[in-house]
Amino acid sequence: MKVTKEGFKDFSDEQLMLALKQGEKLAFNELYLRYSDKLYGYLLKMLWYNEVRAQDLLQDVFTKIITQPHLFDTNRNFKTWLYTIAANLCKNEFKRNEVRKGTVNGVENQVAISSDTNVEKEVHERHFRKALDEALLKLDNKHREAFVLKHIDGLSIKEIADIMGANEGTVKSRLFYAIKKLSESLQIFELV
Amino acid sequence: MDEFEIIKQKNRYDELSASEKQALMDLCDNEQSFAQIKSLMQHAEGALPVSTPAHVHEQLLAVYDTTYPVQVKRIPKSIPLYGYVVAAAAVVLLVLLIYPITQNGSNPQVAKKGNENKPALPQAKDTTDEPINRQEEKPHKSNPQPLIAEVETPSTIHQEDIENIPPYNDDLEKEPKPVAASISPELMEDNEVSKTETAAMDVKQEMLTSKYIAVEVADRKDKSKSAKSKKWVTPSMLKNIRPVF
Repeated sequence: MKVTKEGFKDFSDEQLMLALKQGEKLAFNELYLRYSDKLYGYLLKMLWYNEVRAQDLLQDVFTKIITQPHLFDTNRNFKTWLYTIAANLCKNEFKRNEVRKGTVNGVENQVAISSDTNVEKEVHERHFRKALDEALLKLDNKHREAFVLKHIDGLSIKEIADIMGANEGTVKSRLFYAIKKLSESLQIFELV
Repeated sequence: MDEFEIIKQKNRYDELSASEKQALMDLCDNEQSFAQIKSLMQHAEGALPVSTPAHVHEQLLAVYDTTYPVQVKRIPKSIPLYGYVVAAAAVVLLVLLIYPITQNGSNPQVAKKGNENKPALPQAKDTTDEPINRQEEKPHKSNPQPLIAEVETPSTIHQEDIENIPPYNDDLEKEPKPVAASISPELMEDNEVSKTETAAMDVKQEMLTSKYIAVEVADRKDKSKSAKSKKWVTPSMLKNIRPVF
């Protein structure tokens, strides 16, 4: 592995953690660039799109990486370890707060939109995404978490099981439930 | 392959095999539900990424600087291949430079052999039939001023004179032997005073000449050696030398 002009782009996550332990600032920078956006999106969906709380928790996650890198087991997958920290912080947040709804402006579900033009297609897409976000909020935390990790962040069922501390069968059943519920909520949309 | 991968790969519910339909039974059991779930998954995965605010990054970098105030210099993870080649070449070069020096210093015979291999100094030519010319002493390059004064000597010395020279020894510097021992009794009887004196003078003259020539020969020999080993003419020798005209 060469340290190229771009820094540590060719390094794996585990190698970056080792470099970070030795005081390599660029290694931390690379890790942040790789995972900050995805992790922020996950936290937004888990915390009902509360941007302030999502930013706070994102900062907490990376601060823990900086101050306690020894907690990372090099034999473990870094991505699952990172999401585990975020999931545990979300659980703590759930316990501290009552269920709150985010500030997402939903769309009237009775409206059925279908069109052949591009502009209307874009509008349709935008409305669908908003409806999806709203429907996610209605899900239980565990189901929502399973759906977000699988279908938005692209983790495998094994990784999700590791993060949630459950077996793969349990993760599958949660995913099945979340998809069914969401599809029923978005049934009115004539999907293109 | 999990159930969601099956849904991603197939476009229609009818394309599913019996076993696949069995696996997806809890999710969908007809074309409509299959299409809806497929679309939902596509939209969820194609969602636009969320951008993290810049101030979060800046705050985290400040935390890092506080936690790691002294940052290590970057050490390359790997050395390119040519780096090893250059390092090996440098080591070989050093060995080649140092090894001969250490060998010469530890083995004096090698140094001697080195001296033996040096070209021989030019030897004196065999000039038996030629008059020997005195060569002027040339001052050594390192000593611009001659260490000894030039000796006034005859310009030429014939070879026959040298052959008649008795071997040089220190005894010559002592008082000469009595002349009477070398002169026949008949001469002594005829010319007591003048002849005796003349003979004595002649002998003395011969002895001085032989001394002088011996010094000269010795000097020539010394000249062939190195400048350091040159035999200087001592002041006592200079006293005994008289110019011959």
